[in-house]
Amino acid sequence: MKRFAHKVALLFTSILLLSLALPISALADGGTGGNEFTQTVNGYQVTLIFEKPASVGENQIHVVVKDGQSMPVSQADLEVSVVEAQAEHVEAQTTVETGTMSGMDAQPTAVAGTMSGMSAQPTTEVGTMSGMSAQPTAEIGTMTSTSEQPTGHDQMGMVALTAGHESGEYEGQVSIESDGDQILRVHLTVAGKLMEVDFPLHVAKSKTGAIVLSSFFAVDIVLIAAAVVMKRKSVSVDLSKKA
Amino acid sequence: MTNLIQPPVKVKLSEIQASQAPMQSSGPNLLKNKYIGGFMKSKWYPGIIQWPTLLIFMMIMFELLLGPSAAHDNFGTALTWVLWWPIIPILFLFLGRFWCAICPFATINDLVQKFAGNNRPVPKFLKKYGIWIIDALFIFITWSDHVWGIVENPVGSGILLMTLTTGVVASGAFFERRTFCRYVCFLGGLSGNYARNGMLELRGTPEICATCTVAACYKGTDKAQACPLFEFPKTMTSSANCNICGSCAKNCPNDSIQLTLRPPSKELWFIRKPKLEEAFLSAVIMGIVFVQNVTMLKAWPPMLTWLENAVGTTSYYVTFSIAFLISMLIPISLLGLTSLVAQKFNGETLLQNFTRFGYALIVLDMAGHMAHNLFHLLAEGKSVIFTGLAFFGQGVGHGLSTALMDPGMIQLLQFGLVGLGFAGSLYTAYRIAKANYAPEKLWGTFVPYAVLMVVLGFINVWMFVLPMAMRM
Repeated sequence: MKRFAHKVALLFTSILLLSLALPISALADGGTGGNEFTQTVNGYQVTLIFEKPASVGENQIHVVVKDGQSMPVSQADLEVSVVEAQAEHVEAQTTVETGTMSGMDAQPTAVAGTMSGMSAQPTTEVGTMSGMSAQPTAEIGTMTSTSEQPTGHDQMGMVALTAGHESGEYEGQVSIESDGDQILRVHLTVAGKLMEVDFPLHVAKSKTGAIVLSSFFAVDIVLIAAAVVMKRKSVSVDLSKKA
Repeated sequence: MTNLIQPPVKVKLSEIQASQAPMQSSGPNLLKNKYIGGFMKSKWYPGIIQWPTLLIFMMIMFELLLGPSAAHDNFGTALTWVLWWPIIPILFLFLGRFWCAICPFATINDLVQKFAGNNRPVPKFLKKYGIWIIDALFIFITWSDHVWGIVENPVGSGILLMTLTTGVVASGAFFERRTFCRYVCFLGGLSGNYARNGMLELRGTPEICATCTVAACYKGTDKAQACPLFEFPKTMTSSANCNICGSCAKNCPNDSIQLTLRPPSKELWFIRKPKLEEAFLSAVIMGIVFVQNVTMLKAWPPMLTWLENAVGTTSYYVTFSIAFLISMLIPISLLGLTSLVAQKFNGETLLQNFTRFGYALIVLDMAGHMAHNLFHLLAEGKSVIFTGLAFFGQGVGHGLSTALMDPGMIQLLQFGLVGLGFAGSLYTAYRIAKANYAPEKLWGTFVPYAVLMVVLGFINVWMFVLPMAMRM
């Protein structure tokens, strides 16, 4: 009976340890289809380019802005933010209270007067033309007030892009904190007029967790194996002494 | 799995004095209660709680490492940091170190030990410097939480838990009993300190133990394992290393073990052999509570900007480390300064005073810690439900408040807790002074520490007055 219990316990331990490794196969889903996306707003062609496929963490992006004649627009101000698609859907109509599920560290929503005909995809309604600091809802890039914000991030998770190497090109780093469906929102100001362009993204699930899990699992197995070997050795020494 | 029998350990009984203290509680022995005693001495205890806890822990681990990458969507994050972490100091207050009996890390330790354990003796350096190692680990983990975002990042939380898992696997594989839990685990150190303030006390009956030559509680029998935390109820004077696992009660052939209730902080009044590292840990915990509160204040970003300008760098590593150091140094230096004043009145050295009265901080530590965590539990509590529903495929919660209680009410509870903690620390300092000094030295010793408690209590209250931002 005792031996049976021992075997059951051994089996359970093995299952426990194996189960730690199993989910590795249930890894990352697809990810973005490509690294380049184009939208048109008020005649301006805005192209978003990810240097690498969008992923959780810091992403280097380039935005190219061209006018109706396909001429580069070099005098624009660009800011970008990342918004969780699901949260965006829910929060279209309501102001976020402190401590809501979507972005629990409370990013106040700015909902004010509309910008008539300014945005091709008016996902959130933005403030008046002056004071355009559209407070985005549920910024993914600002999970906590305690984390370090990379250079260029402001308090609300907006990232100001700087002029790139070519005319009409702007670049910067944007932080994505969640996988799944996201919206990268470009706030484009040309000649004092603000436009918003939304780029729906699907951010691939990070493999980091699985790598961490399997690495620790491997170390644990090595430790246990070493202990088993050392235990056997000590037993054999004792036996030889007795003999 | 309740009988993880340890190999016999040599105990020099000649070294063990029957030294049960005058502070032994005289309340009813809970083990005599047919339900409590029956349950604790049964083969089901603590396994019946231990194993489900391990299964939940595994689920949390998977969710942290393989689930949603955003903390506010992750069920593992919510269970760990919104539910478990705030509840744990409350458990320490009412049940002492009971959590350690059902802790999943301890269960993994026991499992590995059963099948692969070498059962080597605890390394001498761990015995000598164990609490200092715990102090250092606790400081490091708190620091790394802020600079690397362990709480806000599910993978970061997963790495922390996996690191601890690897620690217990190594400990269980090579060393006897629960070496890791006793000498390395930072939570064990915290719980040890808090358990001194706890309301449960397990001891041997001095008259019975005095005649005992078996020491089954320490060595273990076929009924139950030996004390996993290397305690010997015969000489135990502290609850710091008793996890109420019931092994000693199962093993004792003389029915000597008593489990009694006591007033919170009572053990702190009569610390027989105060240790500098334990007193230091209590000051460190106060510093950690300060750090946790300060970084949640809405005034934190401006403070950070000021620091950046002052030191000329925007590196968060640098600025946070400075703020962290200052927060740690405040309670340590205040305790040191008070001890300097007290030594003028009682004739003991600064270090002796620091060591003796550091324990008085534990009550306020615990209250500050609970008050801080109350904010997470009550202001973010519904996130456990929302993320839990999402975990099971129910997509509700987005846009809903996570608060379980009105912020004003939470603040009121926080003030109440800090008030109780202040009163407890004040009284503990008085009792320590009374127990150790002649009447003519009593007030000269106590008053400086009373002032210290007022200052620390005020800092705690002040931080809870200021508006806080949520971390989740």
